[in-house]
Amino acid sequence: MTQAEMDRLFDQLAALVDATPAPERERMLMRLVVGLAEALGDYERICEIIRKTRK
Amino acid sequence: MTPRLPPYSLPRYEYRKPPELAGSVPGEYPVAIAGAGLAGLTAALELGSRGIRTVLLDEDDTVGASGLSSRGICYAKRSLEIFDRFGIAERVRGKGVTWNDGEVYRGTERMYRFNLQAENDQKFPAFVNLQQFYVEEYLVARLQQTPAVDLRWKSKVVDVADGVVLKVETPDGAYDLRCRYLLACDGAHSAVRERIGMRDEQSELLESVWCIADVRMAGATDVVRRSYLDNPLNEGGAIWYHQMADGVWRTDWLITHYPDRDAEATPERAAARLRKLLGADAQFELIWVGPYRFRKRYLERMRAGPVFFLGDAAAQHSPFGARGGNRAIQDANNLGWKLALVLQGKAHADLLETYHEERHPAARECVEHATRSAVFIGPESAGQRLVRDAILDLAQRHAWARAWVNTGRLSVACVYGQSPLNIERGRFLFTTARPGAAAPDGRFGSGYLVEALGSDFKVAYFGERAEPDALLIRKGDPLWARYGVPDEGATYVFRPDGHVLARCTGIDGAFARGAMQRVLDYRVQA
Repeated sequence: MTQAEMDRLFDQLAALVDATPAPERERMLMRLVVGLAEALGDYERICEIIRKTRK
Repeated sequence: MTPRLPPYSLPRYEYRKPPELAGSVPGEYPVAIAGAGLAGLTAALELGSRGIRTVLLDEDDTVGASGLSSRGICYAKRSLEIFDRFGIAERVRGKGVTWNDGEVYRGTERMYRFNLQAENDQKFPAFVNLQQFYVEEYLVARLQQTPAVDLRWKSKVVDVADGVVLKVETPDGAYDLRCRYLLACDGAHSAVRERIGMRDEQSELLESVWCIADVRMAGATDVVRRSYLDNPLNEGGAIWYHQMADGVWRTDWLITHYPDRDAEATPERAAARLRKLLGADAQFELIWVGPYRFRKRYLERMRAGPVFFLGDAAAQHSPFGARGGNRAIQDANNLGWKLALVLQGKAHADLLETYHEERHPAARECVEHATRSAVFIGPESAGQRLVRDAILDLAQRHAWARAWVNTGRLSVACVYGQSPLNIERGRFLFTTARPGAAAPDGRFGSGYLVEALGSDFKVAYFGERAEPDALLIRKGDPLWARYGVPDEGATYVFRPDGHVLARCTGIDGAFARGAMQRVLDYRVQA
């Protein structure tokens, strides 16, 4: 993915959040995560990303 | 400490009564340029150096704008390559501050450091920082040695009729000036644009408010550009910090979040913030302080018949990425050779339409990049802040996430990938030097390739033999790999502005001649 594509994704992700009422944002984001995990389709890599994402 | 402003004095240029008001009738000028900023001065040099009689009109009698503000300060490698053809790049480099490294902070914690120039065999560095008025002064000095250009100070274009009859106001009164082509380089508040009634494709004022403080500091020598996001020393706002000439630093402060933004843009408040950043005992002197907001705007069309729009007259955007001045210089670089060929009778006038076709996407690209950077640096919505903060969380701990951090996608030459002038035949290993791209530089003979390209069409053969006047690059030369040349060799054709026009695999002189002729014969497709 190019940096220009990353920047465009930033726009789309921010717009998705802004278009979702605050109380529903957490569930919306989890739906997005599950959708991306399905698209990635690699259990080990998804687990690795989960580990990296933890604080 | 009471801030003391300002220690600079700008040059004043002599106003001379124009021939139109002195009784003579000079007739029609091939080209008139409204505005002697970066775009206008560079365009005048592009034309004047090719012998095109040009009159350049500026309402002021000095360089710079907004008083002593540093304005555009970062001159990218591509701009330096363009300036080099006019013999001023080394002057810019000598006076300015060369930098390739930057640091990005979150709060006061450094997240990472980056280097912009991975290859060290280029003639010019990624960036030289220099106050815009110095660059303009050097361009004026060069123009004063260019007989084809008539530079008229205190000459304000106030009206345009039919695109080619200008009303010019001077201290001696107004006069009409007739030209065949007009280049509107008269800035963000372009009078030409207003008089012609050009429409914007997009126009929006962004919410963010910034304060620029140019400050001279004793003993500070670090040339790393620093970007602070969410800095507690600025009440959580961003701070930009980089060095220019004369030991002066440009600092930019996001002040949107302060209740009284006007107060925050005063020298007193700027000095107070600087003391917090630099320490209570720091010795510094304020040079210029002022607020700014930015508009994202670009024209629907960058040409209206005989009138062309360049620089801020064509588009505006945030300064992040240093794209404003560099884009203006590239606008002039793109138009100059085409206009010269048409006026010399060597090319069909349709070639001029490719200015819009190539530079309009470049303007849009700059606006989009610069706006996204501004949003990342100062998020305006909850969604933007959430995504931005998540990226910063990851970037603090994982190198892979740094590519997502957008503190300014720094200016590089625009690739005219969709230009109708491009021709490509055969398979190359990389797209770096594809048609439309600015020629990648590298060592060539005892100098550099960008020097060898000159200001006219140029052919380079990657192989074992070359025709007279063409460049020869043999296998094993680092340029061979940089240009993605396959084993059978290649023929590259470069445009007079230093962009790749055409390439094919193998050595093929007929291909090169055909590509150049196609430019001269170019016709707009119905």
